[in-house]
Amino acid sequence: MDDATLLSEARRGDEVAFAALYQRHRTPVFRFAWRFLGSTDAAEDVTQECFLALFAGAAFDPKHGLLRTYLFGIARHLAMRRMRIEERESEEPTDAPANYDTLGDLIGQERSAVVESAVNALPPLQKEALILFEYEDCSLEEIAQIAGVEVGAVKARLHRARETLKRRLAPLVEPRAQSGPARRTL
Amino acid sequence: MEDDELRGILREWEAPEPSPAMDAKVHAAWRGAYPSFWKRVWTARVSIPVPVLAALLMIAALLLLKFGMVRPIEVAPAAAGGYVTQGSAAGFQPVPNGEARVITVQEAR
Repeated sequence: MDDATLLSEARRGDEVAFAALYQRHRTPVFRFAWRFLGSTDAAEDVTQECFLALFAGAAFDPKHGLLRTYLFGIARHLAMRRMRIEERESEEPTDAPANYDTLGDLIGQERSAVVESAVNALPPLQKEALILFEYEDCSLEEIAQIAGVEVGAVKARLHRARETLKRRLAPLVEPRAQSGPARRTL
Repeated sequence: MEDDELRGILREWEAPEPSPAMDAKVHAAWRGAYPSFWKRVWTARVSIPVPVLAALLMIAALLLLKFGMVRPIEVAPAAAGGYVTQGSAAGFQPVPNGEARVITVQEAR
């Protein structure tokens, strides 16, 4: 059963349709929120609010895109709002540099933690574009729809994010053959 | 660093799976927002203006009166040719031997 049918049945109170739709989309939404906000609690809150907003009658139109894209749009809005609130409440600067500037710092850290710090240190708009493109396999057009900008703006954000990360993560590159996933270019 | 190298490094940062606690929380929130049919029926509220309510009550009262929920007391038709008094002596037992005696209330008890 397609997403639009499940959504309309869930909105009429069908719990089975709700469960099916939730199971289908909860993991990508949670993953995106978790990577964007860096907190499991915050990501769970955003995921819950995202699905409740969807079932409460948010204006999804299947003619204008996939439900996945629409859900990412809601999650992005909620995550941005939460981040702004946290920034207002926090006295620390939001653009603090990552704490692994020297090779010595790198040695004691897990590689994944280093990557996490590097991504989290990106500006929010670059970070969301990078997460959606690299981790959620969204197309440039989907990201543009989610962020409400032109595709060119998404390309620019991704380019800047990649350049920053290449610089910051350079110490992690080992002189060995890499067998990464299939190539995706802008 | 090439793009593919960067991508390989980025993939080392893995996200956790959503917890069952979150699933339970979302399901509970959904049930709160969309209760079952019978729960909705029992907790449904209807808002109605007072004049409309008064008019409806008056109509209901008139309908009740008209269609016999409150029936008028039926009066027995008078017998033709005047009143008839009927009596019956069934079950009457005369005092034995005709010995009548006056007793007080205390004695009767």
